[in-house]
Amino acid sequence: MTVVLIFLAVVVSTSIWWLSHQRLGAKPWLESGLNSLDQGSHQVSLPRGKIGLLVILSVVGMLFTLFFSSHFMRQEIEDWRSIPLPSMIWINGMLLLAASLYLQSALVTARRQLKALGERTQSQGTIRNDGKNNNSVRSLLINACVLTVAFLIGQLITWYEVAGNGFFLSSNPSSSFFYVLTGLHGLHIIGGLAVLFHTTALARSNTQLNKLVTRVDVCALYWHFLFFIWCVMIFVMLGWTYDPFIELCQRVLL
Amino acid sequence: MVEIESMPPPSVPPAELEEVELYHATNFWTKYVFSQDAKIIAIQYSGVAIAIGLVALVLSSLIRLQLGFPEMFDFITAETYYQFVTMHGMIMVVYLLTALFLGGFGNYLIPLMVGARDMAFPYVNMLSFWIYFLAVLVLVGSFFVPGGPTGAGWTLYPPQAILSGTPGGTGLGIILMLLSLALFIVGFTMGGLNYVVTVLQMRTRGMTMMRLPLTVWGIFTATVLALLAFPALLVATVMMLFDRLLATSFFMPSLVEFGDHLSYGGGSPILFQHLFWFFGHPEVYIVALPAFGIVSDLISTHARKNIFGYRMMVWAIVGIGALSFIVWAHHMYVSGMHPYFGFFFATTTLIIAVPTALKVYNWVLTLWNGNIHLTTPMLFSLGFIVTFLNGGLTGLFLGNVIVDIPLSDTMFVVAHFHMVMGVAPILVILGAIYHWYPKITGRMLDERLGRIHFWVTFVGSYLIFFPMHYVGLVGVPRRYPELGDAAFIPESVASLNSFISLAAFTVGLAQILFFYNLFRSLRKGRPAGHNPWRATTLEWQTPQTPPGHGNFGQDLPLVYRWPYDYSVPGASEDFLAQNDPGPIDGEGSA
Repeated sequence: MTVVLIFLAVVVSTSIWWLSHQRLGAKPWLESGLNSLDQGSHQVSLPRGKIGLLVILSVVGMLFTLFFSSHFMRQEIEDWRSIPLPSMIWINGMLLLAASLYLQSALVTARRQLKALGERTQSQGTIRNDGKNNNSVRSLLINACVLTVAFLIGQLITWYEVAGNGFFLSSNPSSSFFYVLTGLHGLHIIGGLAVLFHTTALARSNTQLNKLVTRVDVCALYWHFLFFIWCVMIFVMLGWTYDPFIELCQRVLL
Repeated sequence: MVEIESMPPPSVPPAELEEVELYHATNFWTKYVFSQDAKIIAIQYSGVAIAIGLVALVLSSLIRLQLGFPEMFDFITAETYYQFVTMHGMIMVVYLLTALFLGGFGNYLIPLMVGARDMAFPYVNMLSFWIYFLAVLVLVGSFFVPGGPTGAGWTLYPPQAILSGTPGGTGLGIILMLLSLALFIVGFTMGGLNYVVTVLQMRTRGMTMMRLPLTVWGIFTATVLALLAFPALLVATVMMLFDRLLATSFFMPSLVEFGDHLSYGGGSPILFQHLFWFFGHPEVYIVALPAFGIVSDLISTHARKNIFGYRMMVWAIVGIGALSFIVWAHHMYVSGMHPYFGFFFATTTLIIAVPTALKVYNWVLTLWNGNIHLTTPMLFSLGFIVTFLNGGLTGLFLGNVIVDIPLSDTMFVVAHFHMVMGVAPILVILGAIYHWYPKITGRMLDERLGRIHFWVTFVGSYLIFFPMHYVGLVGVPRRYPELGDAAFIPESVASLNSFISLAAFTVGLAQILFFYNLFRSLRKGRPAGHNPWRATTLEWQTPQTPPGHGNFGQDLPLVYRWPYDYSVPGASEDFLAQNDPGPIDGEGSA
C-alpha cells in the first residue's frame, strides 16, 4: 500500500498547495464587503472541462495505483511466476506515444490559430470564424484517432500472443494481472476515444475555435496521462526480470 | 475593540467568468424525470436512498426479532439471518448514508449555498443519479434470485464470500452485490466530479473559500475523500468478480471445500482486507464530515450565534479528511499483522481524535451563551453532539490494539459503530430535513410531531445501544444468529436482548410519525415564507421558495460577508444575510 500512499501524498500536497492560496488564515468574521473580491477570492481560472478532467485523472490515477499496489503485494507470495511479455508491447507503446504527440501538435496548432484569429478580429473589429481554420487541426486529430485504434488492435494482438504462449487469464497470477490491467487501460482508452471522435467531428463543423481548443486540450492531457500510465504499467509488469534496480525500487516502495 | 475591515462597496468589479447558458427543460420528462436540475436530482437521490433505507430498517427489525426472540420464528434461519445482516449493513452505509449526504444534500445545497445556478456538468449529474438508481435496482434484484442475496457480511471478506458455505456465495447473490457496488462507484464518481468542480469554480462573486458555509466545506471534503477512496472498493470488487467468475486467484488461497480441492491457489485474503478498509475507513468520514458541516450550520442558526472558531472548524475538516487515509489498518488488528504496524495505526487513530474533539468543543462553545431555540432541528443537533461524543469515546477503546483484541468481533464493536456511524449521522439527516424542508417545499413540518419523533428516536436509540455495549463487554460475539448455552454468557443477556429488540421496534415504528409528518405537511403544513429560520446563507435568500430553475433571479447574489453573522449589534434584524451589504456606513458588525 506504500505506492498508494505515495500517490495520495502527491494529490494531498497539490490540494494543500491550492488551499494555501485560498487565504485559509483569513478571519472572515472581521471582513465584510466586496473588497475581498480582489484578494485571492478568484475562481480557479482553468476552463471548467479541464478542472473536471484533472479531478477525473486523480481518480483514474488512484485506481491504477491501487492495482499496482495489489500487484506488488500479490507478487510477494511464493506462487508468483512472471510471464514473458511479447515484444509487440514496444510497438504498441510507440503507437500510443505517437497518438499523444499528434494530439499535442493539434493543440499547439489550434492555439496558434486562436491567437491569429484574435489578432485578426482586433484589426477588423468583427468576429469571424470560418471552418477553414480547423482543417489542419482536424487532420492531426484524425491521425491521433487512427493511431489510437491501431494501439488497441496492437493490444489485442498482444493478448493473442500471450494466450498463444499458454498464459490464460486464470493460469497464473501474473497473467491475471496482465489481462486485467491492460484490459482496464484499454477501457479507459476506449472512453477517451469516444470524446476524441466527438472532438474530431467538432473540428469539421464551424465550431468556435476557443471551444475547440479546450476540447483538444482535454484530449491531449488525457492521452499523455494514459501513455504515462501505460509506461508505469509495463514497468510494473516487467518486474520478472528481477533487475537489481527494480528490486531496489520494490524494497523502497514496500 | 477589534478593528473592523469594512468598507462601503465602491463599485462591483466585473465578473471573472462568464455565465454559462443554462439547460432548459421543455417537457414533463426532461423536467421531472430525466431532469438536469440539481434540485430535482437531489430529491430523486433522496427519495431512492430513503426508500432503500427503509428496506434496511425492516431488515434490522428482522435481525432484532431473531436476536431478541431466538427460535421463535421459523422463517429466520441462520442463512437468512446472515443475508439480513449483510444487506442491512451494506445498504445503510453505502446506499443510504453516502447517497443521501452527497447525492441528496450535496446536490440540493452546494449550488444554492455557493450561489450557482446549477452544477458544473448537469448532464453528467443526471447520469450519476440514473446509474445510482440502476445500482439500487441490481441490489434489490439480488433478493429475488435463486439462493438469495449474499450473506458474506458487509465487508464481503474472501474467501468465504464466494464459497458455497456462505449464502449467495456460489449463486448470483454475490455477483449482483459486486456489480451493484461497481455501478454505484461509477455513478458516484460522476456526481462527485460535479460537487468538486462546482465548489471550485462556480462560487458567486465574493464567496471566497473562507466564506463558504461549513455544510459546503463538509460535503466538499467528503466528496474528495470519496473520489479517492471508492476506487479501492472498485479494485477489490473487480478482482473479486474475476475470482468468482473467471477462476483467477487474486484473493483466493488454495483450499479444500467439502473434500474437493478448489482450483484456486496462492491468493491473498489480506490483500482484500487492505483494499476494503482503505475504502472503508475514509467511508466513515465520508458520512461524518457532511454531518459535521450540517450540524455546525444548524447549531449556529438555531442558537442565533456565530460559529465558534470557524477557521479551526475548516482546518479540522480538512485535517480529519487527510488523516482518515492513514488509519485503515485499525480494522485489521486481528488479521495477524506486524505489531509495529498496530502501533503505528493506533497512534494515527488516536491523533484523529484531536481535530474531532476540537469540533465538539467548538459546537459546545457555540451553544454557550447562545440564544438557544429548542426547535426540532436544534434538538436533533444536540442529540447528535451527545451521540457522536459517546460513539467517539468507545472509539478510543477500540483504537488501542490491546483493548481492541478482546473486544474484537463482539457486540461492543456493533454498539460502537452504530452509535458513531448509524445513530449520529441519522440524527443529523433528520435534523437537516426538518431544517431545509421549508425551503424545499415552501411549508413547515409540524413542530409538535417533530418533537415527539425526536424524543422517541433519541431515547430509543440509547435504549438500544447502551445495553449492547454491556452485552459486548461480557463477551457475546457478533454475527451469531443465536447464542445457545454458552457457559460464559449470563442469563441477563437474553432478557437484555429482548429488551433491545422491543426498543428497536419502537424506534422503527416512530419513523411512521416522521413520514406522516413529511407527507401531511406537503399540503397542510404552515406556509414557511422564504426564510423561516432567519438564516444567513444564500439558499434562504432566493427570490422564490422553493427555488426556481436557475436558483436565483436575474442576477446572481453578491456575497459581502461570512455565513455566521447572527445577533449582529446595530443591524436591523438579528442576522445579516451573506448577500446583505450591511448598514450603509459600513460599520456595525462586531
